[in-house]
Formats: sequence, C-alpha cells, structure tokens
Amino acid sequence: MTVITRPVPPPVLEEVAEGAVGQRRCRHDALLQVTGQAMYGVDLRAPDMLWAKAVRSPYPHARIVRIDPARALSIPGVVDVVTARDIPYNRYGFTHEDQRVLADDRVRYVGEPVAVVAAETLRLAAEGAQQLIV
Amino acid sequence: MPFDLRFWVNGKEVHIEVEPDETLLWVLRERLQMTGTKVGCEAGDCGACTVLLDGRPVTSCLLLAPKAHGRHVVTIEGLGSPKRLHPLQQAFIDYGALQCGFCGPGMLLSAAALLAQNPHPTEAEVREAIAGNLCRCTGYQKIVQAILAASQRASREEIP
Amino acid sequence: MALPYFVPTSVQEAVDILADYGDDAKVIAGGTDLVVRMREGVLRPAALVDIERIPSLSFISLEDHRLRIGATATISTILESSEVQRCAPVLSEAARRIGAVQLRNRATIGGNLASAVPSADMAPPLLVLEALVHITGPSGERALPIDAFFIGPHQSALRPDEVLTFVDIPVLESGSGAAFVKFGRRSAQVIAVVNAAAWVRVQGGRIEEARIALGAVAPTPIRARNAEALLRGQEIRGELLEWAAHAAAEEARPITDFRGTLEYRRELCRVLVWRALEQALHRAMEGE
Repeated sequence: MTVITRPVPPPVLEEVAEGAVGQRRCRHDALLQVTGQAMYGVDLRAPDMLWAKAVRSPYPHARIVRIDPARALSIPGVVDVVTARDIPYNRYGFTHEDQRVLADDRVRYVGEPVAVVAAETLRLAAEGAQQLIV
Repeated sequence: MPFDLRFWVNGKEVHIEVEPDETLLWVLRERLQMTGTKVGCEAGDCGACTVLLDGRPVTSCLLLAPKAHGRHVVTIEGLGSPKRLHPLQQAFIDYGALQCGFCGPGMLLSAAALLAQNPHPTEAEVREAIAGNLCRCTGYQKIVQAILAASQRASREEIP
Repeated sequence: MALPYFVPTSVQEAVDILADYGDDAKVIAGGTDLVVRMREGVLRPAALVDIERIPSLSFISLEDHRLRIGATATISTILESSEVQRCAPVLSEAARRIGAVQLRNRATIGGNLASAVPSADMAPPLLVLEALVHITGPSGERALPIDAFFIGPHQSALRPDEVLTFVDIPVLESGSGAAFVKFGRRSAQVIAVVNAAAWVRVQGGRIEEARIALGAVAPTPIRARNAEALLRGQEIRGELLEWAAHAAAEEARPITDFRGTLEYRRELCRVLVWRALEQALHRAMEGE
C-alpha cells in the first residue's frame, strides 16, 4: 500500500474579508448530510408503494429473442413486469436522446436493463426478477 | 424460522423478529425506518452501509441480522446530535468534505471509530481507515483534511 | 423464506447439525464470502450453522513454540495481536493487505482458508510456515498439513459435515525470516492479481532452507518447490534471488482473466517472489 508519510496539515480556516466575494459558505444541505437525515431517492417511502427490481443483461452484446413474464407474474405479490414495449417514448439522454430506458431488440452492454419487475416488497420483486425468462 | 433479535441501536434496546437471511442493513432501513445508513453495492465493497458493531466498522450489507444479537450497533443517526455535532460532523461541514453526501454516513462512522481508537492519526492512518469507504464525487482530499482537522480540534469524544 | 439458522455453542453441536443436513447446510462465520454468494444466487444453503458464538474457536495462543489461531479469529484480531506480530509477523503483514477495515473486522482466518480461493491472502504465509489445519467432524479430529488442504478453486479438503477449528503454526525461530507481498489493481479492498510469500532460514551466510508460496496463479495456492531447491544450501549472493524468482515464475500456472493476463501474472510472480525473498532474507539475517 502506498503510504503517504509527509505531514500535510489541513488548511486553517482563517477569517475572510468583508463583502460577498471570498466569504466562506457551507453547503446548504451539509447538516442534513452529516447527520444522515438527507433523503435520497432510495430513502423515500410512500404508503402502498411498490418495489421495482431491474433485470439486466449479463451479455455485452446480444439479441433479445423473447421475454416471458408468466412465471414471474405467477408469484403472489408480483404486480407487473415492464418491458420496452410498455414505454411510449423509449429514449433519453443529456444532449442526444439516444439511450433506451429498457433494451428493445438487443442489449449493448453488460448491465443494460431489459425489464423491470414491480412487486409489493423488494424481496418479491427480486424473486420475480429471478423468475423472469429472458 | 424467524429469529428473535434483541440488540442495541444507538444505545437503545431493540427487540424484533427477523428472518435469518435479512441483513442488518435491511433491518435498520426497512424495519426500523432508519435510512441514514445507505445502500450501495450490497457486496461489502463500497462501505456506504458502514455501521459500528461493538465499536468496529462493518459493512451492514453482509451482516445477517441474527449476528447482531446482543450486540451494540451505532449508525449515523447515533453520531452526535443536531444540537451537538460530533467534531467530525462539524469538520465535514466546515471543510466542505461532502458533495452528494451519499458516502458521508459510512465515511463519518469509519472516521469516528478511527479517532476513538487513535485520537491523533497520521494522514496515512486516516487514508487506511477510510480505504473501505468509496467516494465517487470528491477525490477524498477534503474528507481526509476534515478528519485530520477534527482530530486536532477535539479532545477524545466518546461515541455512544 | 424461512431459512433454518442455528447458533451452536460447541463444535460438537455444530458438527451434529451439519451431519443432519448432509451436504446442504453451510457453516457461516464472518459471512463476507458466503453472504455475497447467497445474494448472487450462487449459493442456496438449506440451513446455516453460525459458528461465530462458539467460544473455543476464537482464540490466539502460544504454547511450546506453536502459535495457534482459532478459526473464527477475525483478520483484525490477527492484525492487532502482539503474539502474531512477535511469532509470525508475516501473517500480520498479510492480514493488513486483506480488504479494508470493515472487511477485516468480520472476515476470519477459517473463512479465508475454507473459501479455498486461489487468491486467499492467508494461504501463502501459512504455506511457507508449513502450518497445520485442524478439523473436527463426526468421526473426530484430524490435522492436515496446509499444502494438503487446498484441492481446487473453491474446493478444500473440508467435508460438508466438518468444521475447521484452528490453525497451528510453528513460531519463527531466530535466523529465519518471512515476508508476504500482494499485487492488486488498487492498494486496498482488492483481490490479488498475484500474491506471494517466502520463508528462509540462514546460517553463516548460507540459505539453509527456503520456502516459497504463490497465490492466484494456479487452481490453488501453491509452493514453488523447484525454486526452493535452487536456494537450499546456497551461499547468499546477488543472482541467487533472480534465479529463484525466475524458477518460481516458471512453476506458476496462471490464467488470463479480467484481473490480468497470463503473461503479466507470470512476470508479477518473478517480481513478487524476488521481493518476498529479499525481505525474508533481510529479516532472517537481522534476527541471527
């Protein structure tokens, strides 16, 4: 392991001059972050919410021949299986909308989402994801 | 068969029934509604789920709930309080150590355990102590500075 | 998903439960390997036998020049142990390179060995120290030399109804020294691309005995016995280490995978064995 042995003292937080420019500012949400109170997407909860688990491609490049949701849907508590077909506009992106939300005819990278299983609990969603035939 | 779990979370005794293959991470977040401990890789590699188990940092994603039986767990919610921040929390704010903040809870607990055991660590010791906490945003520089600053500011702070 | 979960308080109890379940129950200690494989769906045990609470498994003791480490001693405990630091510092050296703090607080020496992964970091040091692995099963206790413990990738000599109970290591005597080196793509929290350990005993400017072990370059951790033979009885001089390192690299049977190519691993063997030997010699000569 590379060991850094030179002493590097942390910067002293000195007082700054009057005026707006150069004033020390703390992140508006720093307190929430350091106390664990900041809410991220995965922390949100709503009553009667469903849980989703994505089914992702293990292959870097492959054709999707068939997706059979029957076995997944037969698990009590698994509510729905969503595929590209269910998405009206299956494109997104920052400057160019060229990325698919869910893969349609083929997958282009390991980990590309192919389908999403929705269920009453995360465990059921995971089970449904395991049972989905792609 | 369900497991009758009794353990301490942030100093308070908790008594719940769990499935043996539920992880401590799950129990904290879903059963106890304490979402301060974060979900990352769920494979013990990223450290976002770090909690203290009997004072030692562990990745709660790999800790099956029965293993916490009779033991003391400290989560980010148990580090300092909004009225009286732990010196590390104050230093993280002052030094701008966090950006998105997701690594924060795990990072703070690893650092707290370090300072409890080694109140005046070297930079190398700080980096080794947080080697199991990955940060995607910051490049670690200000995190390390904040931890060193906290160690210099505070006399030893007891963790609950 | 009611998974039977047992928390025995004795080794015998654990063995009885394992025997009841045939091949289907799994021992769990730190869980840092098992839980990952369960989450991935690779492992679906019919029951778990948690040995973490068995008091007789979590010790470190020194007796008659033998260092004994219980199977459930964590890597952190080993790292922090003054007995290990004094009697087998190469083990502390390896412990320090395992994962990161969180992993070391949970992973155990028993688990590291029982996982039988070729890259297990505890294996090369224990191989060069010629440790004994103690195992208890329904038919009683047995002790296996560590180089008979690893059979193949993920395959050890442990039977499904057996528990690894402790590791028995001869204490490092004066005039001997050992070292461990690990190369990974990061400096922490990484599986070795190649790891290596060396042990030497010196006397009057000669290497009396040498042992070299390599990990992650064969289906199991291995000893490089041809390289060892080259060193035995030899006067310590410059080229010797290079020859031994080269020989050890030839004995490795690495593969190409996402961590590195066959060629790179072979080259790493040469470099790491050289470094380990040099360090081991230095320590041996210091202690003469």
